[in-house]
Amino acid sequence: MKLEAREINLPKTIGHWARPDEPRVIHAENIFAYMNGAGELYLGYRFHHLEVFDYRFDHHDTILVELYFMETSDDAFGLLSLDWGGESISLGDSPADAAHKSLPSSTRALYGAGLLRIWSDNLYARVMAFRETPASKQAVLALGQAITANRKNPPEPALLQIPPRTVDSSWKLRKDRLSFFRSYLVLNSMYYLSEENILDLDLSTEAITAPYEHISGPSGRKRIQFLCVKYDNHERARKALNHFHDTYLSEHKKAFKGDSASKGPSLFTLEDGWLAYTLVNNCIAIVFECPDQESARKIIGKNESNLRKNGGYHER
Amino acid sequence: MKDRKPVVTRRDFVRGTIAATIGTSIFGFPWAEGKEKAVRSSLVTIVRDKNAMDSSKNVDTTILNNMLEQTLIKVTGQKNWFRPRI
Repeated sequence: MKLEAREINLPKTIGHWARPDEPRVIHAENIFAYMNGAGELYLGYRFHHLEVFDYRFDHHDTILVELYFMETSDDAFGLLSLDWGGESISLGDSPADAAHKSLPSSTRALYGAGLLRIWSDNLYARVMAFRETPASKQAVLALGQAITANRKNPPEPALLQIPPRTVDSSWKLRKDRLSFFRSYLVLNSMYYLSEENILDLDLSTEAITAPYEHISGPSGRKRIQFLCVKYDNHERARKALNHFHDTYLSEHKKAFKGDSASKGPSLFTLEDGWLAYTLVNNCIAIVFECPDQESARKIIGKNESNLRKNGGYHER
Repeated sequence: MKDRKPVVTRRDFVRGTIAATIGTSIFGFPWAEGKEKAVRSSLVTIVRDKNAMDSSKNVDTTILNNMLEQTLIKVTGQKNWFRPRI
């Protein structure tokens, strides 16, 4: 695996900014010394190392380049997917396979307030001008192009193909809120579930979450949260669902038997609406805060059907 | 389930029983299912000041201090906030 910044041809100077010859190299062991608690976010993905370049003009005028080398493209995508805010930027890279252009219009770079964030294959990059000016924006975008030049553009994580974009003409997936993650700490930052890891998430799991919003109609509740987790194998998925049920739904009777050919989703009424979950092969899908049993059944049903159809979600 | 340490979940926040859950967790009491009393809702304060940062994104520490003091005054309900001498 090529993980060196030397593969990336960063210019020595850009505008009136100049970088040192060598980057600062940060590993998992010293990431907290570099960014305090924010290190948890990166360690929640398959992080390899970080290379940091400071392009300086004077003490107050700096452009920071952070190159996060992740083990897979999915992990780099996951970091970008935590915040879809900002202006979508084309850095002149070739588009991904059209079959996978499903989510925020194949966005690979976002710019806002002096900060450019990039997903490029297994690399997640942040390029930040501490003082935003037309010249610094131009330099930041030029650095973005240098970073992404000649790099591959793998498709988005396959799990993103599961949730239908609309359900029953009533519910629409918020693609601009769809995030990929592996850690319960990251999940909690998007949709707080529990102080504990009640879904047994770790670096071997893949997970997505996004809200569905009601398109129209008299329904008082406007948003449902969807969550889908893929485990190494069916047994791990079954145990995780067991853990989730025992912790989150302890007063409710367990309906699933644990075989992948279950008789459909389980539904429960809670304080904040209906919850439904299903177990298909090595995947769990859950919907939270549904306004009624019918919407819970429809949304989980569509997702369950996609999990069965999509294949590829079998034991590794 | 009675021997299991109670785990704080989203549902505790929705039910307003977060204090009860944490309390039983700290003191090791068994989970008193169905006996939690709803506590008063949480207080969230937001203090904004458009001058906290200048156009170059430099933070004005005097304004930031005032904002922190305003936060403490709102949370504690006191009229003034005195910085302790350490």
